[in-house]
Amino acid sequence: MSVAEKRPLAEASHVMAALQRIWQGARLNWATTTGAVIVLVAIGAAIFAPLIAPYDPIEIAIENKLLPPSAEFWLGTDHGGRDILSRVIWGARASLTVSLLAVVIGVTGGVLIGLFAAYHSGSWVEQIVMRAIDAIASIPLLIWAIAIIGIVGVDSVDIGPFTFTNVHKLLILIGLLYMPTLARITHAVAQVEMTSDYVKARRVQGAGNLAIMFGDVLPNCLSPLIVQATLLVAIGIVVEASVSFVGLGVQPPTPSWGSMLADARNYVFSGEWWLPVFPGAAISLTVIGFNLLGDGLRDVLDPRRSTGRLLT
Amino acid sequence: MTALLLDVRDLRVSFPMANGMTEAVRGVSFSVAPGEAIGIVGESGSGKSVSALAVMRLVAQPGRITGGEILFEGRDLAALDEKAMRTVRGRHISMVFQDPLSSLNPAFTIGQQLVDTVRAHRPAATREAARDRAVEVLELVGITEAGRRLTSYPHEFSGGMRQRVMIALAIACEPKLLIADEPTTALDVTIQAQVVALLWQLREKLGLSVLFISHNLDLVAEICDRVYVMHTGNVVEHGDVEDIFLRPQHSYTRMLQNCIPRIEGVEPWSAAARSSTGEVAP
Repeated sequence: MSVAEKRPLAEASHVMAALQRIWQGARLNWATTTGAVIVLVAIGAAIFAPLIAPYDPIEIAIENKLLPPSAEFWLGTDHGGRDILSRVIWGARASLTVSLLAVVIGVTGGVLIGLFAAYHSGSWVEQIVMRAIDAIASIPLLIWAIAIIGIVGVDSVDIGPFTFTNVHKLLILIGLLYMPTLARITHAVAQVEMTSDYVKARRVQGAGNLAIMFGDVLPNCLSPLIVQATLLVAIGIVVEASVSFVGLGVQPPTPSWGSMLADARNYVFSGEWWLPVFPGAAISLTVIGFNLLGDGLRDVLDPRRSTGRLLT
Repeated sequence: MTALLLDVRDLRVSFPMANGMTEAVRGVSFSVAPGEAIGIVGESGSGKSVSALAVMRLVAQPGRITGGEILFEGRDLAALDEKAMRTVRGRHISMVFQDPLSSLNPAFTIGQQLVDTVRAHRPAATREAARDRAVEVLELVGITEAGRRLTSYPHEFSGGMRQRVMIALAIACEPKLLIADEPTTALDVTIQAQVVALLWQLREKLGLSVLFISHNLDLVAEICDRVYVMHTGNVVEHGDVEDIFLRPQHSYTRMLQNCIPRIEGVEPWSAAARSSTGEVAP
């Protein structure tokens, strides 16, 4: 019984082979592929924005104000005469910078906290850490973000030689707020892995605690973390857009999908539909892209769960 | 008499329970001479595995060693600090566990795991030297095309092969004592015979001392010189394997013996039985 049950488990945590499988496309379905394509397009737009954007996204040309989509301006222009397509392309930068870097910060911190708690499994240290995390996670992320930026303000902050613009503050804040989720996952998986025989075997071979935690336990926690990180990127895009929408995120005139939506509010009922639709579509598509990719990765990395199969 | 390699005296291990401490090992003494193979037999819960883990100072929390001495080459392991103990584990004393399916890290190739273990105890060794050593020990435990198998993941091996890899990991740093905690229990009978034969060969080739823990008196009889019989945390009987096997004094030893189904007319401990398992290809 134990043999039959352990086999798929062992292969599930088997990250390298799983990445190979992704590479070979053995289990890729159309949903995952679509997600991956959308994500790549968004990242490409962010990186190559200066090259592919047809117009300057910031410079105001009042004579072109509120033009509908045409051959000249594919997605129309806004109230300042700025090309919406160019602004959507440049807006990908703000969205993806915030969401991707926030996930990097969140994964780093979450993994450290989770492993720390798992290492102190059963002691009061673990209880304090995990209950503190529960407390933070009990308030929704968006409320935390709006409240803290609201208190700190949207101006740049200088700390030592570094200048933190509002975007930097936002991504650090979102990263901190991701930590509880990722710490919980790491903690839960690491606790199970730490009781496994291979950890005992590593101790017998003379490995130290740090080597075991980072060298043996962590690699076996990676699959659920990769899946969760992908899904958190999608959440980050929504949070950045929401915070920018209420004026606490990316500051004008820098384009961002959220602030473009905020600007478009006045034109929703006056017929200039292209103002809200295209940045909104950019947000939705990118979020869907990351979600599809995350679900696909979950299928490949973790055969025990089969959510997301509905789409195949 | 030559100096003992391992001399455990009056070892006591206790676990805290709701109503005070429960002693799992109650004053156990055993010894291993260099190059000797000794067996510890007993039923589940008799304290044999806990005794072995206590020698490695790896009794599962919250249990702890509450008394006795563990003299290894004259040094008391029970009194060593954790850092010094780490250099003993793997380098001087090594251990093989019951379940080879879960004892290898599923996320790394066996080559990576072998190289890491070798380099953990020999920081000076280059990657190439460690890799050569990995191939060497894999060949020693009878894995063919060892160089090619280094890049294989644990799930690509069968149970018996994985136990061979575990043994390779255990002997990679040339320990003096190998503790085998029910190394064959999770394997089927033919593979059991191969693993026992392998341990026998390694003992001959490397001059390894073996502490073999099992509930199967027949297996112990095949490779061990002396046997300790444990029951409820105590050693109830010990002596040469033939004495214990042919003239068991304690009623519990007789019960252990009788509980193993065997084919009429074959004496498992006999020279014939030994050579028949010893001939299994490495």
